[in-house]
Amino acid sequence: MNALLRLWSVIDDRLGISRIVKPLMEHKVPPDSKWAYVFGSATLFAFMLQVVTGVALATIYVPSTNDAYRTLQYISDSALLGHWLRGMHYFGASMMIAFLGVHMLRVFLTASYKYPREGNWMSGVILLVCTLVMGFTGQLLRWDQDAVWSINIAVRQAARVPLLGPWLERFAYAGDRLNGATLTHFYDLHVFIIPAIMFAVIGLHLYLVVYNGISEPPRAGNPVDPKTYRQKYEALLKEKGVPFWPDAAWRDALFGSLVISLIIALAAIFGPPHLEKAPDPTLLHAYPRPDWYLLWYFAILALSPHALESIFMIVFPLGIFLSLFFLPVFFNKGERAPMRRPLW
Amino acid sequence: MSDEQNSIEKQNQDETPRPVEGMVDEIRRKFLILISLGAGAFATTAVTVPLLSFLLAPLFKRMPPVWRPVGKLEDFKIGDTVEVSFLDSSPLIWGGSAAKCAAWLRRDNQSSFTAFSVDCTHLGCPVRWEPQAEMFFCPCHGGVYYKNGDVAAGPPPDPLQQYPVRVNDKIVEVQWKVLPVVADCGCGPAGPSSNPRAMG
Repeated sequence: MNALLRLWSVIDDRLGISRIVKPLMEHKVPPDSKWAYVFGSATLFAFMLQVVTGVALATIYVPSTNDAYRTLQYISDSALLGHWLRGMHYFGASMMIAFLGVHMLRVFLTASYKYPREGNWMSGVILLVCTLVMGFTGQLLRWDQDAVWSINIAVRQAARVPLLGPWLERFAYAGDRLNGATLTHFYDLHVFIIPAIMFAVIGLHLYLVVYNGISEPPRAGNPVDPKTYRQKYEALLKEKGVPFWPDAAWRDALFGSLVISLIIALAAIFGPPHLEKAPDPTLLHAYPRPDWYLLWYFAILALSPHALESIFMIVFPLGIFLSLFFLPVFFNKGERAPMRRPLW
Repeated sequence: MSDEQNSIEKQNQDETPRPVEGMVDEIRRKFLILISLGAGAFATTAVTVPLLSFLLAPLFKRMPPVWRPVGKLEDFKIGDTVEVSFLDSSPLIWGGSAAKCAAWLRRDNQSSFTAFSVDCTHLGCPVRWEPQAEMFFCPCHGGVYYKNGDVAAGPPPDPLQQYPVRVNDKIVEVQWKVLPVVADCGCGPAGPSSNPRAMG
C-alpha cells in the first residue's frame, strides 16, 4: 500500500493532477443544491456511456451502403452481447435526450440562466441541438429501410430553407440524391464532427459551471442584480457553502450510477430497436418515422396548412432555438423564484 | 588619460547603445510575429484548399440523366400500373442498393407509358399504388393522389413527378434524372427546375 502511495506521489508530482483536481473537488457549493441538481450530471453520464458503447460498436460497424445493414444484423444477432450493447447505445441516447430535457426544465424553472450563468445556458442550448442531431444521425446509421426514407424526409425539409435549401439538400445527400457517399457523410457527422463539437462545448459548459458556481435555489424576494450578485453569492458560500465532493457530488454519483444501471437493464430487457427491411429504395412498402423524441414533430406535419407548411418546418424549429439561445440575453436579471416572475 | 576621463568614457559606452538595442529588439519581435503569423496563414491555407475542395465537391458534381431499360414491351399490360426498378447514374461504384430507384409505370396505350416518381411531393415518403382504388397513397401523412398523379387529398403540395419514358426496339426505357426535391425552386446548385404540374 505504501509502495502504491509512493508511486502515486511520484506520478502526481510530475503531472500535477492533485493541484488541478483537488480545488475542483473541494470548491464550495450552495448547501441546498440537492436532488433537483442531479440531471445535468446524469446527462453527462449518459453521454459518456454513448461514447464508450459507440466506440465499441464502431469496431464492427462498416459505414458502407453495401455492408452497414449486414454488420448491424451481425452486431444484433451474432456478436457476443452485441444485442445488449446496441440496446445500451439506443437507450443511452433516449436517456440522454430525456435528462437533457429535464435538466433544461429545472434550469428554466429556477431561472438559473440569469446573470452570471448566461454562457452556461447558451452552451447548453448548443448541446441540446448537438444531441438531437446525434440522435437523428444515429437513427440513419441503422441504414435500414426506415433510415433510407428518413433521409429523403429530412432532405425535403432542409430543401425548403430559403436560399440555402438546395445547397443543404445536396450537402445532406452528398450529391444529387441518395448515393454511396450519403451514409459515409452521416457517419462522419455522427462519429467525428458532432462529438468533437460536443466535447468542446461540454468542456466549456463544465468550466462555466465551476467558474460561475452552481446556482443556489431561488428565494422569493431576492432578485438577481448583476451589480451585487457575485458578492452575495460569495458571502453565501463563505457562510454556508459545503465542499462539492462529497457533500453535493454524492447525489450525482448515486443518481448517475442508477441511470447507467437503468439503461443497462432496459437494454437487457427490451434490446435494441428492431431493424426494418433492407435499405433498398425499391422496396416501397415502408412506413418511415423518426424515433420517439421527434415523432410529435413528424405527426404535426400532417396537420399544418399548405400555405404555412414551409414556414412551420423552418421558422418553428429555428424560432424555438433562437428563443432558447437568446433567453438570458434579454432576461438576465430579476426574480428567479418561479411564482414571482412571468414565464421568463 | 586620467582615471577620471577613462571612467567617464566607459560610462558613456555603457549607456549609449541601449536605446538602439531596444529598437533592434522591437523590430526583431515584430519580424518574428509577422513571420509566425505569415507561416501559420500559409500552412492553414495550404490545408484548407484541398480540404474544402474535397468536402464541397459533392455540391457541384451533377448526375447526368440516363435511359434505363425496365422491361420488354409485351411485359406491360395496357392500363396496368406496376413498380419498375432501375439504377440511377451514380458514378460511385460502392453505392450498391443506394443507386437503385423505383417508379410506378403505367402503360396508357399501345405505345405510350407514364412513369411516376415514387416520392411523395410532401416529404418524400414512398407512395403505393392501390389498384382497386386506382389511387396512390402515402403512408406518412395521409397524402392521396389520383390515377394521373394529381393530388386528391392530404398535405402534398404538388402532383407526383414523372420520368420520361420511351420504347426503344421493343424495350421500355425510363429516363432517370434528378427530380427537383422542392417544386418551382429555380435556385441553388440544382439550377432551374420545371414545374411538375406541367410535366407529363
